[in-house]
Amino acid sequence: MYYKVKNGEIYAEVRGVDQRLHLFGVSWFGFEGQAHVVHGLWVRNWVELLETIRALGFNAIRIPFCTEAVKPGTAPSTILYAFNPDLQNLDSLTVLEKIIVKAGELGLYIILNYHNISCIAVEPLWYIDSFTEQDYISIWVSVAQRLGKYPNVVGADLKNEPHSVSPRPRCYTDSQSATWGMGNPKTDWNLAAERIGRAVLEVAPHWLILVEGTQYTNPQSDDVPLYPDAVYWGENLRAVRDYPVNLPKDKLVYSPHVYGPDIYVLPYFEDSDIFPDNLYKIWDQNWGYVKKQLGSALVIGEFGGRYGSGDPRDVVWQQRFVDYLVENDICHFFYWALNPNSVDTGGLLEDDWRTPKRDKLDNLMRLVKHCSSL
Amino acid sequence: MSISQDFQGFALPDSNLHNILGPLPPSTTVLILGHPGAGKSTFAANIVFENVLRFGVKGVYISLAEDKEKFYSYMRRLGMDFTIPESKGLFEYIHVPTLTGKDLIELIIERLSQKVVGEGVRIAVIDSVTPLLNALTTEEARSMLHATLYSLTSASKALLMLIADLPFATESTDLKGLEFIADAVFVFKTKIEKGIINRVVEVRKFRGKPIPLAEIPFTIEEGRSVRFLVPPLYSSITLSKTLLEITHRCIEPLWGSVEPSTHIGVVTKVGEIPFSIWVAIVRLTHDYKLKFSIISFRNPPQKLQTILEAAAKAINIVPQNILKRTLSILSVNPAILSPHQLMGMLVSEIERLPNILVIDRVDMLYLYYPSKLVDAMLHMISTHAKANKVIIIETTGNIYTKHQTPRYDLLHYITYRNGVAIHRVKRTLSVKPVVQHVHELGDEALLKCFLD
Repeated sequence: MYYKVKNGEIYAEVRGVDQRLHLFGVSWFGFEGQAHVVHGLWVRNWVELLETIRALGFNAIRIPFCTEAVKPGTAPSTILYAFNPDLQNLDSLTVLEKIIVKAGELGLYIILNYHNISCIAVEPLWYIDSFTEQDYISIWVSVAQRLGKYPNVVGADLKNEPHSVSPRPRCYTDSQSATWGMGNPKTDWNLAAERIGRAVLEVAPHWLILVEGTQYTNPQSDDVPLYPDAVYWGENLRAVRDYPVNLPKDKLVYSPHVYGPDIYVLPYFEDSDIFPDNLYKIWDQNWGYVKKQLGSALVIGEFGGRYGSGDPRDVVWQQRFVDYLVENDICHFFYWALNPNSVDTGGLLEDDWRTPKRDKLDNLMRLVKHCSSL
Repeated sequence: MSISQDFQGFALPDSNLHNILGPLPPSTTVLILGHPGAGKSTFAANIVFENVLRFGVKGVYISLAEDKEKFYSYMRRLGMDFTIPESKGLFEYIHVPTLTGKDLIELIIERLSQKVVGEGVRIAVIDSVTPLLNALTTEEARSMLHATLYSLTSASKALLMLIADLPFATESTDLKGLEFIADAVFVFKTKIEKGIINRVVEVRKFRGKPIPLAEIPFTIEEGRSVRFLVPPLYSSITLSKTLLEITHRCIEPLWGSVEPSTHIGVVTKVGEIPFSIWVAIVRLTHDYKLKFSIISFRNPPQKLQTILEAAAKAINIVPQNILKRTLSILSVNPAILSPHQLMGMLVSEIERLPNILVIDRVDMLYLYYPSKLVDAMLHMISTHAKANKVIIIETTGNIYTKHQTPRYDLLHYITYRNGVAIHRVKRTLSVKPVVQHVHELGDEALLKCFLD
């Protein structure tokens, strides 16, 4: 299996034939935190949960992980072995491997996401004092070596949500915030993505490389008419126009994270000129143009919300967002999240990890239905 | 799934208890003795539930008291749905009709033999053996009951759990020598202290192994069954090379870079901590997208929420953006809760894995509970937090005992001079080379820094 991008769309090459692929996915988290394993295994069996994902209408899973979880020998916690007897005595990495294999049998594609270094919180950059860029690359190389052989693994989402630690304009030069197109190899995410991406492709040349946006980029690219400061971590692809990531075109996918008021209330939600009818202008400006004008492939790496049980505006937000994806034939997404214990967004399942949230799903399935008809 | 050659034994409920005592090997008879309502049946049921599903072996629960419907519904509330192993053919609940004397004994032994020898059952519970023992003299018990039960468990490599009743306010009962054939003996007790029930289990015997802890407190929780209040092993506290240190330019002078699992003790003689500390918590939560929980022993949730909102507004953060990062805001009155229940609640909050757990107004615990107990309890909570990489920010009204400060990695002492708060911080322990430093800062300067 060889995955590639042609004319902004994703294809799987099987025995010399290109088959168009849509990634209708959901994030299932846990490997990126102190549990060192996907959550929910304290109430349900892991195969049943994979079957649930398939039955809900998805064909892909994004699995975020952290450094410790993919090092051999790390013991997972939170698994109730009564429900998961075949995971006894397995380290986290082997559990991950089993999940990938079973997902493949069920027709589920996998995107692996190096979510954070520390298993604690998302770091702004791809290195910290005690963990260098080379360490980061070594982890990716070992993951690609171990998991690249499974044909349902589509690619590597290199780093979760590069972001800033200070507001604009200090963030461009504080040397601790991620930038894009500043010409500083220590903070420019576009340059780091090239270096990390090339190392991954050397080991797993059949994978796609997913590059997320940042929070801020550089003063020129961020000089946009609509709310230049109001972006989510990982959303900002404003600088792609002038500073595209220099990776092979058939391997590169941009992957913004886009959220609504449930994750963070940005000022434009209070502006009736933007919310809700003109939200599309914000999305066009921050990342939508990358597909619409530049013709690059886009995978929405994360979006989600409580859909009514949190900020009441979220229902409209999610509906408008799906409308936007439908209108622009953006047919690759990973909803955040399957997990009901996602603190700000809730999940696609109720707290029992069993009952689906029909209203959220119905909205998502509008997109699946549209894309399946293309 | 069948038990493999290298099978070490059956798991005890609660991984912390299992880590301390180790597994229950095959061919083991366990005697579970205890006061009514002390948790004997729940403990035995938990062992059956966990192990039949884990190892795919058959289990049977022979009850002389509760009917099936009652047992299933109670256990379901505690997170054990016995219809799951039952539907897989791994579990059978047998409610024995009311018989007396030797008829009862014959029936039980016949049923048990049929299940263990005839049907390959590997885990069996008799709840309880007290009516059986009452019907026999010691001699009869030895010849009939002991010999049969002992040969059954050893021949079939089964785990047999015998529950026996201990009347209220008694410490022992005539077991007719049953304690001698048992490989492990657990005694479940309820202690009423200050009108509040505390549950403890005594481990009297455990396969000839040394028992590191003779009396272990525990709680029974909805959805979780039994929780033994033992700290995690120190060896389970790992130091990672990839530590994320959490800080902010205004916090740096006081706390430095806060490593996950740091325990910060914020001590202030006026009781409530200054506003600037809440601002600091809000700042860190916002900047690192952290999840946090607050358990207060004095302040009601609404007050805490109002303080958080005000702290967010003070630094131009939309309050909602902070409140949605909260896992829990709980207020607990220690006057109506046993220390064990409270400890269970704190451990359970840590298991939800917040990045920061604020334990607010610990001085109230010293008011209601013996100070040694409070210190031991919070030291245990601190160990749990370290094992789970949770930062604890504990606020309290004073240094009450000499055992209080050793649990703090950072001692943040706040005094007031002419009505103005002065912050003094002493770093007592770090994974980095130990740095002892005392830093002094006025609250006004701290707040000003945040507002800049």
